[in-house]
Amino acid sequence: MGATYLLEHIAGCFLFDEHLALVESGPPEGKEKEAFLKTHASAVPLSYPAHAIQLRRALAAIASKIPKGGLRAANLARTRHDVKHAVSDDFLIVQAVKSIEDLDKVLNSLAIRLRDWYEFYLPEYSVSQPDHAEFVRGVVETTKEQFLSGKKTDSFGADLGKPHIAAMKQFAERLLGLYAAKQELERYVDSTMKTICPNLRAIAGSTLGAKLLEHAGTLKRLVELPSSTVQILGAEKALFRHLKTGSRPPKYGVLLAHDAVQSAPKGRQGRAARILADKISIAVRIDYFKGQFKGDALLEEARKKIAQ
Amino acid sequence: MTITPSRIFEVHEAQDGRKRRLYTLNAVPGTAVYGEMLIPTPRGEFREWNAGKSKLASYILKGAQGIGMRKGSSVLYLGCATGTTVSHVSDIIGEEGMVFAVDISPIVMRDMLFLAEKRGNIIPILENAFHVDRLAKRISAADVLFQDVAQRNQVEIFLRNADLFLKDRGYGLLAVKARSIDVAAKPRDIFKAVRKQLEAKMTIIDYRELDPFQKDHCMFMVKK
Ligand SMILES: C[S@@+](CC[C@H](N)C(=O)[O-])C[C@H]1O[C@@H](n2cnc3c(N)ncnc32)[C@H](O)[C@@H]1O
Repeated sequence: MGATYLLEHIAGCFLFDEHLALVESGPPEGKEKEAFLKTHASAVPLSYPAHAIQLRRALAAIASKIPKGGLRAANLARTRHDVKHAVSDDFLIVQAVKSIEDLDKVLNSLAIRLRDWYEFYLPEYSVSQPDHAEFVRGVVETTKEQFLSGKKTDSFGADLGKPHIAAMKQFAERLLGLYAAKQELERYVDSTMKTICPNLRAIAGSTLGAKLLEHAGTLKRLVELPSSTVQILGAEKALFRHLKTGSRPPKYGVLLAHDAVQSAPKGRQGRAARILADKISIAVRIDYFKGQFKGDALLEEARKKIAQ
Repeated sequence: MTITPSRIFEVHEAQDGRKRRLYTLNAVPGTAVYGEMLIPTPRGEFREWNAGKSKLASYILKGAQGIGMRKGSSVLYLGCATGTTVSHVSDIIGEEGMVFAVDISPIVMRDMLFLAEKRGNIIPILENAFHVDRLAKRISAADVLFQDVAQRNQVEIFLRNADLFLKDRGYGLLAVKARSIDVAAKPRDIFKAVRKQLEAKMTIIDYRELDPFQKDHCMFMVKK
């Protein structure tokens, strides 16, 4: 036989002579494959880049020999398997965070819509309650009479019939359901963050930490980013503008929402974001490599350094 | 509006006012892949090939003389995403052909899997195209290499794959997005630098910028 080279391929095991002509092929997997490999243990497995030249010729040699149907079926099965197993918790967190952000947007516009509507009936209440969620709750739970009791003047809102009031209330109840859905998602994100990135959660908080994950895409990519990029994650537009037009570079992205950055004096917030980003980079590395919990200590170090 | 064969194998065209539109014969009649128009005719169902969503279509509309593919071709397609362009490649190469559709992202691969299950000439592969050692265990040599990965090291990825998987005298098509290499530099300068890198290893036979269909993109065609 005298086979010289071996290519372990998804469609089978292929043996080549020293001129890279195909001499024999064996099964792609299972016990039969192992037996086949044992019989031909002396053949050199082709690898890249060591055997680039040989590998190229081997692949050309088998191009017409591999049946397309088998090649496709094997790859299809393998890719289905790979896609199935590519799902990790960080993908799920990112979707949950995006759902929270979408809910925020939707709730904001629906609450404003309800205000416009309800103000025909009781404008004084809408004005007295600036918080959207509380306003919506009030529409469900308080009547006009309850709101006006003890007030010196009557409302200048119209006196509407029952069906009109009921429609507004029912709509408001749906909104309360959405507020509840948002809270449930936040609890889910928090507990998942606690399991997969406790250090990031401790230093950035679970919402902010999850947003960093969202902008990086995955925990792995967040780990690979230099901390100077972590510092400005979420400010990609401003960064692009800076590179294109020479406008001032952004100093922070989503990290601006962190209280350690918020509480820094105005001119020093960029510095605070940089210090925080340094520590966050350490934290995500610990999370990714499953090291000892150090998140609280990292946050403390960041705060001290920012205060200096 | 009449649909007639274009100068590109298996690609059809029609003049619609001032606009030229491209079509391929739908291998799965009745099914659109990305919301494109389906046009039944006595010769079969045509699928519109939207240049705004496919750099290969833009390249043809910008005057390409050929794309190296025909019925029965084998194509290695790197950066297949959800399969917008791959679906037309699949129409072009027909049942006898095959296209290895490679992408690194498991998210886009979901749509790709559904597409591949409907079309017997698509072979989907979830892999980083840079890792040619791993691809070598999944594919065979191909007549055409097409790449659209929008990555900083895209030229290196292209050269490696062309070296290993492209048959002698095969054609390579490389779509380049200037911004993915350097956001600050002028696109023309980036395209020039890419040309240099390519020329060192292969023969460039065509080059076209893809605006107005894709801003700051170009296509190189090379021959091995
Ligand atoms: C601009 S999209 C391609 C669009 C597609 N060619 C079409 O016309 O329908 C770029 C794709 O390349 C993929 N990609 C990026 N880097 C890659 C790599 N190293 N290997 C494989 N795919 C990659 C991305 O996941 C993305 O889906």
